[in-house]
Amino acid sequence: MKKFLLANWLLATLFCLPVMAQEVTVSGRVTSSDDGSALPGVSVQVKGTTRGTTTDANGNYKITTPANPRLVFSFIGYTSQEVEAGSRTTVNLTLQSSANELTEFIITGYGAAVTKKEATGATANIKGDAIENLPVQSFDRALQGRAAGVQITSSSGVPGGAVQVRIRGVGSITAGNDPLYVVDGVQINTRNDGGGNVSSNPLSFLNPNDIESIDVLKDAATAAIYGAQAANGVVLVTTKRGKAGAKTRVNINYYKGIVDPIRKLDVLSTQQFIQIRTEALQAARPTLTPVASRTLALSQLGLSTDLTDEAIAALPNYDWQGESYRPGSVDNVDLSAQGGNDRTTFYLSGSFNQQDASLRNVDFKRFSSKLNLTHKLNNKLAVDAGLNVSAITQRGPYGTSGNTGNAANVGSTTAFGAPQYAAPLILPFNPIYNPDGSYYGLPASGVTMVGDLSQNIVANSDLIKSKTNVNQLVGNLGLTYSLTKDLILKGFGGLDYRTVNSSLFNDPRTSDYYNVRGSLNQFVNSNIGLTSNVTANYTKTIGEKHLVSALIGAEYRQEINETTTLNASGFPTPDLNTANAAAEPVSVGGAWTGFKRAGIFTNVRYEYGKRYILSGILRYDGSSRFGTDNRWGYFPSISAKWNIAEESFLNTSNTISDLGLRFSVGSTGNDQVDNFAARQLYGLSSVYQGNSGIRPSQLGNSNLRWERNVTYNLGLDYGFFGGRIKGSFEAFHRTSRDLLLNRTVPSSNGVALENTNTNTVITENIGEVVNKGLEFDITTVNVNKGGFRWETNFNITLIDNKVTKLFEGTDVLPGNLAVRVGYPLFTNVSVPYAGVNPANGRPMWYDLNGDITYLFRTADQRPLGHSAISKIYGGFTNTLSYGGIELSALFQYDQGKTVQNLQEFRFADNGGVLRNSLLYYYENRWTTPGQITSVPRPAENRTEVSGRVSSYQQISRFYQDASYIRLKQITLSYNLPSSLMQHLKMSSVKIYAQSINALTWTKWTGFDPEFAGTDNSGIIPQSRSYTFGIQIGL
Amino acid sequence: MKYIIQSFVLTMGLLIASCSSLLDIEPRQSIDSSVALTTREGINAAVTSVYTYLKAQVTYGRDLIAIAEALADETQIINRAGGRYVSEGQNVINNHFLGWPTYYTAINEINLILEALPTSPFSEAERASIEGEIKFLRALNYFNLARVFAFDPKVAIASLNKGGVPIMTTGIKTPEQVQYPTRASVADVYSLIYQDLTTAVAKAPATGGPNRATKAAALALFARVALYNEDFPNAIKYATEALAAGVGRFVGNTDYVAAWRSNTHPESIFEVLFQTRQESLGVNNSIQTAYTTIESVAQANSLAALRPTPLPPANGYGGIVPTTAFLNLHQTGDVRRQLYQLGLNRSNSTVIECTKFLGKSGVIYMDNVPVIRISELYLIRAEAQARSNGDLAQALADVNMIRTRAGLTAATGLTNAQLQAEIVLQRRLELAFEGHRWFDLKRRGQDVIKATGNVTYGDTRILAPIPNSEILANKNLAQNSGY
Repeated sequence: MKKFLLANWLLATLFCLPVMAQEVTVSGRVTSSDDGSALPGVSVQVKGTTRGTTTDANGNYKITTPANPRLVFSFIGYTSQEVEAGSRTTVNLTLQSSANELTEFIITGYGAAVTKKEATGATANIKGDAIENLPVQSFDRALQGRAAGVQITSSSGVPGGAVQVRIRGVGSITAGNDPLYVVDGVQINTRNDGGGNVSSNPLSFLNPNDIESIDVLKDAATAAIYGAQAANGVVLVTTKRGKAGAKTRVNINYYKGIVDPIRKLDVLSTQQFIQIRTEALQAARPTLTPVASRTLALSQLGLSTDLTDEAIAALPNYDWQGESYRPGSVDNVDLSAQGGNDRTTFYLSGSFNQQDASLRNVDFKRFSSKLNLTHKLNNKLAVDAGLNVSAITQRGPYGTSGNTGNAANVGSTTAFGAPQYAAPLILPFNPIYNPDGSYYGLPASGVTMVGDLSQNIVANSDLIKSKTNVNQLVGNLGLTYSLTKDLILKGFGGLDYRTVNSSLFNDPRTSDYYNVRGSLNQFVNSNIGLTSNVTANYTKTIGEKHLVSALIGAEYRQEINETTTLNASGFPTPDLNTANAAAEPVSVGGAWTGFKRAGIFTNVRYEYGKRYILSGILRYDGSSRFGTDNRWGYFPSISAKWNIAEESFLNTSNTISDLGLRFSVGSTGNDQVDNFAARQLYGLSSVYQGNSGIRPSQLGNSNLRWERNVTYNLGLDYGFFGGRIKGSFEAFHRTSRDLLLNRTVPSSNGVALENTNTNTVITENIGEVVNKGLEFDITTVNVNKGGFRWETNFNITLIDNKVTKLFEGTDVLPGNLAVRVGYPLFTNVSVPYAGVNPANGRPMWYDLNGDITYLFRTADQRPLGHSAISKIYGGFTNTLSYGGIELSALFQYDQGKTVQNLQEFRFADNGGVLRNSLLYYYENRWTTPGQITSVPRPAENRTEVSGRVSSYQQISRFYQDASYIRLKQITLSYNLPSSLMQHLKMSSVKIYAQSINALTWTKWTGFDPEFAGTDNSGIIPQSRSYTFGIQIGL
Repeated sequence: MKYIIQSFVLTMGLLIASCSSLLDIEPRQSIDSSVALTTREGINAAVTSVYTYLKAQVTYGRDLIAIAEALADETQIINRAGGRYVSEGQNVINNHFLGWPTYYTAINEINLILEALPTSPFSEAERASIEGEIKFLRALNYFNLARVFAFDPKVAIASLNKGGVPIMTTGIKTPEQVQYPTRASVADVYSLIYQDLTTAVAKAPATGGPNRATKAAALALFARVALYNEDFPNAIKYATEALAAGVGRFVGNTDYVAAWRSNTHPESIFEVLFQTRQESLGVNNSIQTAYTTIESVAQANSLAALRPTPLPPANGYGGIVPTTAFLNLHQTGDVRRQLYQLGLNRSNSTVIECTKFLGKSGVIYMDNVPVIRISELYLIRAEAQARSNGDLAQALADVNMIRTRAGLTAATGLTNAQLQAEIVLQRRLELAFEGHRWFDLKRRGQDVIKATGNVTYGDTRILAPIPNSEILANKNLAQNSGY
């Protein structure tokens, strides 16, 4: 469409031909705004005439024109510019490359693009340069705080790990909430198939520096073209293309830096632990003398029972956290070249990226290469091809629970051998190393570490090898045929091919694997995703003011996913760690799954005089995941825009440069359920007497159909003072209905899921969730004087989430108390904590009647008035520049989320068991009658003397506000002056220093408030990084 | 140009026209429910699946054995397993048996097979044999459900009794078949168990034990069920028939310890088999790790002979161990005392542990689990005779079988009360750490007296809570009192 508009405009310039008497000669030089280099081949037209010329190899031109001409300069990839030459005979000009163009194009899917003024839908647009050179492995993470309505939460601090992206709230309860990602037209599989050893983000295949722009389609006005996949929004990524020009532009990027743990937890010293253990034992045994309690504590800790106070004071303390969380490094180098001529353009890049987590032995390495090629075979036929190849190696942590997919709580673990969970819990008098430097407490030594946490986690981390290799190829090929100047046909094919090879070698020297002589888990997964579509795009201007365009198309997508696993044990030596070295094959596994989707779609637009725009979309989509009778569905949307600024009463205004009112309503679908969810199936059971069993694996539901979102959006785009103040305001109402909900049926019906401890479920289309929200986005140029410029961008999203309907007659989803009608999703439900009885130090709760009790019942649980859904989020960026120096800071914030600090739940035992605790709980514990505190007295085995009392550490004690504000990014850069550049024969050199996550303000007391899901146990926390880089343009 | 338009339109047309078949894709790791049980292989595999639930951690894999002992009064918990078993050992409310969904999953699969059998490609005799086998399994599942979640038939406390468990006898494989059952009375549940066991006795195969259901297993379970039901004549009848059925043999004094060191216990009439390495429940969840720090039979033997310095590293947790009082119940010379020995040092404590589960399969953390063995039948018959004041001579003879085999002298001249006390004592000693004591106290309406706090009969904690999610999912289902 972009080309059409340009073509139309060019044609229009040829129409009126006034005749002028006098003639003059004008000459000059045209350069590029990108790097100041000369632009050859630029078309120079005299407006109102047929006269024209092009610039030569040095960018120079000379043209004879009537007096006082208006010159029109145009060139592919650059914004056309009109210049009133007046009486000048020399007109030098810098053409703005279209990447920096003020009237930016918004990609709306299937090759269509509109300008911001023409857009009828709510979109967020992020240019590649905004996320350039950030030390992140996937672009989703880089979007954090930069787009209104888009909430980005890293699941953990694993580099290249999962990121949770929620566009306009959480609409689905049990189906997926992930948006659709389309990279250069290829629909990308975003399932984490990492085999459970490491959190592996499928989007990390793409080097973020290869990205030209990211467009997020938030409402149905534009997203409905993706129909059944669009309910959670659509993210369109466009990678860099070549640019025509005599000179190939080469860009070299290098940055290097360090990563650092954000926070260390304050835990008890050896001496404090002995004290608190003594108190816990004393409380459980009132008849013991204090001395006897201490003797008992010392003996339990394996210490000599006759230690004097001085000897206890002299006991050592070892820093297990410090040894587990360590500074790491970041390295990135990439090289790109882009260029071409008027028929062929290319973009070529290669990159290497490496980053450590702040946790020992967890890292990410990626080699990637990208080629984008466009070629015009003739005036009618053009090819657009892209190929991205990447090889990723991630070393994972030991002990990540095997969550895959978009499951919440990716990466949480409570494994005693996992440093990310156990480091603060190990009793601090256990040495880490023997005096000779070897690991302390390995099983073969016969010495066992004291306490519940008896594994040397540093040895586990060093010796156990968890490695995941992802090789991914994403390719796309598009053929465009311009049948007439109005009608363009396009055929497109895309491939997303990925193999994951993951292995976990559990070293026979480590505690859990000593007696099985080591074990190996290996996992091979391959995923093939195909996207293919054909489209026809018709654009026609009728008369002067009517512009009609229509897109029609058909699409087919399929994905096949296969897995093979093996588990073996009995390794002769730790040095042999391939499967053939195993004496005992333990098990093999496999899986096969797939889906198919097909659809046809159309988008019809009508514009009247740039003022009134009407757009309608209809898509008819089918998915193999649903019952045969319900496979197909219609997804319509209609949207309109009134460009008020174009009205005659405003178009001369100097104050108001842009004012547009938008409205859209439409429907989109979600089919993110199991591939065969509709089917009634028998699947594999386990083994008995050497035979495999089969059993009913799901009840199925042949009536299963799309989850449907109906979104209303009202938007206002504004711009004042020539764009010095600009932005937009959106109000939306998103109703997610016919939710694909796992309805819990009584398990007495006996149809099991994978895990026989969970309830029997049927996936049904029941329930409704409403997300209402406001988004506000403003960019202002506060100062622009004397070379000093200060620009501010602020965006905020306010969102209100509520479950409005569940299945008939039910207010609470059985099996998930957090889902209840009238409350937001992830509502916290528990028994409110009433604090500590000042008389005896015992914890108390409020029962359902509001009375204080030591012992509550399951039925006393109720909503606590908060939920784990964020209510406000956004970002705030300030950029100050002077000369070549620029300082930019992004604050990102996320407010209103209350989550149980599950990790802390186990860090508050206060000597109740042989695990270390946080200092806070030690310092605030109840010790004397009358004392007011929230921390109960220490209790052995976490229970009070009377057996009927439940564990005193109920979760409700540990709800915390996980809101935070973070200085997400701060960058100081310096562009070397162009005079020097010319001397050096380079076009640009930029040096910069950058810090990510430099500062965080939060009330959260755990490692880090940013994690996805509701379980932070053993999640590898975010890290802070400092990088220095240089970017050279040749 | 026309050609291009035509081909374009054609392509789109084809895409749309072929849409219905475009979306067809068949799963490869599953079978459609409508055909799964129409073949011999399918039904055999479905029967295999029913057995696998007996291996679950929440059933015989651990809980019906080890958690039963933690809840009861013969054990103490040594907290050296990161808090494992502590809550059950202290009878903290809500820390109890689980397994509700597991039992019903097995039951539903049995029901589905029963429905598929009449049209299956098996002979009449084969069908009867399968029916007998799986009806035994259905009876066992209902029996476990009833004794875990409901009062035993003759000792229910009326004010607290919420009934037995829901009775499900039809298979469920489609959403339309889903039921919202109420709790049937315990009497009705037992009546179903009686029916199933009657069929199993008549039709189950004579051979194939002890790892598969046999007629002998059905007889033996019938004897136990009848005892729980205080139906003493049937307990006597079926115990006698089971003893004569030829599965399992009564071991003597000299091979008593060896019997507990062999993979399959020679006395087993029904024993849950764990065969391949992948079936091990591992260091965190197996019975072996719950009971002992010792890694193998060989290590137990060598430690019994000589305790080296330093000790080998501890493997399992050894969290549920006998109380001193229980150990003291053994008289001098009782061979059964040899099954308790000093374990390894874990978390700075070294204690006497039960070694009935030692990775006897040859794989650490993996042992077959005897469900019913010969010795129990003698004790069932003795108890039934004594409590019904029947053939007391046989009762005394039976209990003396157990006593003398253990190396004790035969008891003589006992009053009925003394005889009953002796039977209870021999049950405690003979069947210790096999998951009986908790249920024996419960079926007799007795209090659980323990150092960490008594659980009197009638306390909420006598019955396991029905999972809260189940109560929420089924409004017809009453939760047990106090939860």
